Amino acid sequence: MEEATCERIMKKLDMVISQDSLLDEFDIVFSPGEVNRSPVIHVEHKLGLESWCVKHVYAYAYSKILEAKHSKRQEDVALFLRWTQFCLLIAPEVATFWNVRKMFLRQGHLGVDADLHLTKLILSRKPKCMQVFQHRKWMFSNILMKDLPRQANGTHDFNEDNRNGNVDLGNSVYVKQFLFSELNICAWTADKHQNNYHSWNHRLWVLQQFGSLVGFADVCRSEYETSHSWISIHVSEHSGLHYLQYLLDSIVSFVTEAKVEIMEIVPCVDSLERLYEKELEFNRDLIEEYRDHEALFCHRRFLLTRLRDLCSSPQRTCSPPSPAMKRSCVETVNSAWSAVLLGERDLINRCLQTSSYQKTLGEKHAQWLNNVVGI
Amino acid sequence: MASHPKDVVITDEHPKTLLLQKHADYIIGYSKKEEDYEFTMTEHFRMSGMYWGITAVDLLSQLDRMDRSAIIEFVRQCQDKTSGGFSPSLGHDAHLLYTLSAVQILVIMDGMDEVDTEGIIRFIVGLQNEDGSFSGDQWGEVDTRFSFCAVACLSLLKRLDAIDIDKAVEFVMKCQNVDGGFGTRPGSESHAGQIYCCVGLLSVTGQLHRVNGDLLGWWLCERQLPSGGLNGRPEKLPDVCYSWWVLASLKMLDRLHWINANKMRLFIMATQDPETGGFTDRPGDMVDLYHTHFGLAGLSLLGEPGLKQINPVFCMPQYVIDRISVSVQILAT
Repeated sequence: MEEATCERIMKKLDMVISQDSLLDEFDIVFSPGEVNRSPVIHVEHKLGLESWCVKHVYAYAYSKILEAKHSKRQEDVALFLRWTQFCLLIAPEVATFWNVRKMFLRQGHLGVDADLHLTKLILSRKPKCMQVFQHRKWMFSNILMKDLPRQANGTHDFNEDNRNGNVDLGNSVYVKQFLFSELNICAWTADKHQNNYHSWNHRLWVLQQFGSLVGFADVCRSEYETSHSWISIHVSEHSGLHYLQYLLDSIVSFVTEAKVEIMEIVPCVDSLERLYEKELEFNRDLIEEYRDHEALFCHRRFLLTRLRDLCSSPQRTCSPPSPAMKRSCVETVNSAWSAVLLGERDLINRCLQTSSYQKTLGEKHAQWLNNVVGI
Repeated sequence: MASHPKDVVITDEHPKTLLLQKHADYIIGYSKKEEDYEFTMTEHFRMSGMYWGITAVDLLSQLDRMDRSAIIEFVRQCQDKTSGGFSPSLGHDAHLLYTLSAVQILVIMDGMDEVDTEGIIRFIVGLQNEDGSFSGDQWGEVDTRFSFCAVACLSLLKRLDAIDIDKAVEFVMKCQNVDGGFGTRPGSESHAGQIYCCVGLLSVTGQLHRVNGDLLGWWLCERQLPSGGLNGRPEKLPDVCYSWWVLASLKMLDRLHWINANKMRLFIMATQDPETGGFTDRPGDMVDLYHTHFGLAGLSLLGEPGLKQINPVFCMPQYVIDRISVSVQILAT
């Protein structure tokens, strides 16, 4: 294929991407061979590329990028961006191409919005690509956060705040807006690919950013709810359950540090013990309704370990002043823990009565309780 | 036992014995085709690909079929003069992942003198962060895989003193979860590949006593499915690469005997392709270099006759590690 044809295809692709801001999907469309029309298909905000041209154009763009990098010439930026855009749509795992774009982002030759859009398109085709999540994270920390005052005075919706001189509030609105849209990206990619480690890892990072930049309580409340409804329909996905574990740990440490009341986040719960008990009930209901899921049992182990530690922590058992009080407190806590263990025995018995894989899972759970909790 | 809902079935159709010569030919053949599209599409991890091929061929006792001078020349050209790190291929950017692969190749090929070792050390030292973690390159992504790469490289170069080891260990310990496993960063989900990296780092630095071997060993053993194959996280399908990540971790924890070795062996054998040579992720899929390397490495760890012994920490032939007199810690049970 001629170089001019390759350039023309990439130019067409670039035009569609830059002109249709609602474009939300990209994929390679199988086609048997070269035909006398453009391989770029643009229908209802979806972008397709016919497979016959992929190898040729990729090989051409790939060699042009390496050549330009090697010669260290000041290449035409627009060309360089078009080549890397094309190659990354096809092979987003190649860090070197992302690095070229990071350099242009840093130098101001490329806007963040363009790469937020490009990364989203790539995720529509490869929803578990680690390098794409890394690039979004990098843009947030290295471009968006560093440019905040300028960004806030720029083209975004919260100009009102800034006219009133409230730059901080404007920034915080902007950051929140970005982080919430990032949560949407995570939800979307987690739905597209089962047990999507990088998507859930990205969500953990987003949660951490909320915690350190714009406050934690609001997002925790909504994440707590979202997480439970997600888990109810994805019982086999340990990644989603792990996220809930991280969320619970974060809530517990916030409550323990007296930064927030537990009821502000989980309204129907008045103590941390009750929180874990409620989680155990939620988990048990899922285990009984949807059999054979190891992930649910793994999550249960987490809850039991945390509740045991809470029940036996010195703070809880030793804080009352008089020895008599102390004993009664220990007894109360121990009796709560004993009730939990009795519940585990019932659950295991019910598992053992089944004939499916649930039986094996029940046996393993009994072994784990024996090994780790010591019953 | 009731059948597992997410597993594969091994039948009599699948290979049961090691097709040693087929694999050697597959790997040697792979390293010779350079012009096709697949070669371009894998160039961004070429250095690791070479390390997989070289290690596998060495385990098969056929290293002399590789072109040593061409390999060393390629590795030499991939060292970035400024940063000191190695890129995966010519024209790509340096990264800790490929720096470890390059160092592993050079140690196996006994060619460490051919590159700027001070440059490597400078590169690694420069990537350690305040909290002890390591970035993979100048762009700052942090991952426990990179901590392992850094520490493994320096150990092979006998320059562990160049970094803050205490902090490196502290960071890795912050990535441990309630289930005993480790993830990419503090709070991240446990993953068998990351566990290998973290346990490996603790082994190299002599800090294995900081993990609860029973708890973590138990989690690792639960990766074994009725087919004998291992997955990397709960409810995932088995994959031959985990026969390395999980088995090597168990070996370091001195609990390799906790899994069913016969079934494991049969699973790995079933992932061989008797026509092309090479191993796949699961029986019946397409072979590649990555799974071929880890399939052979796993079998070696299980003591398969005809394969050289492998070191569980560095994933390199044990005789090479002995030659440079590097020792690793194995947890005492």
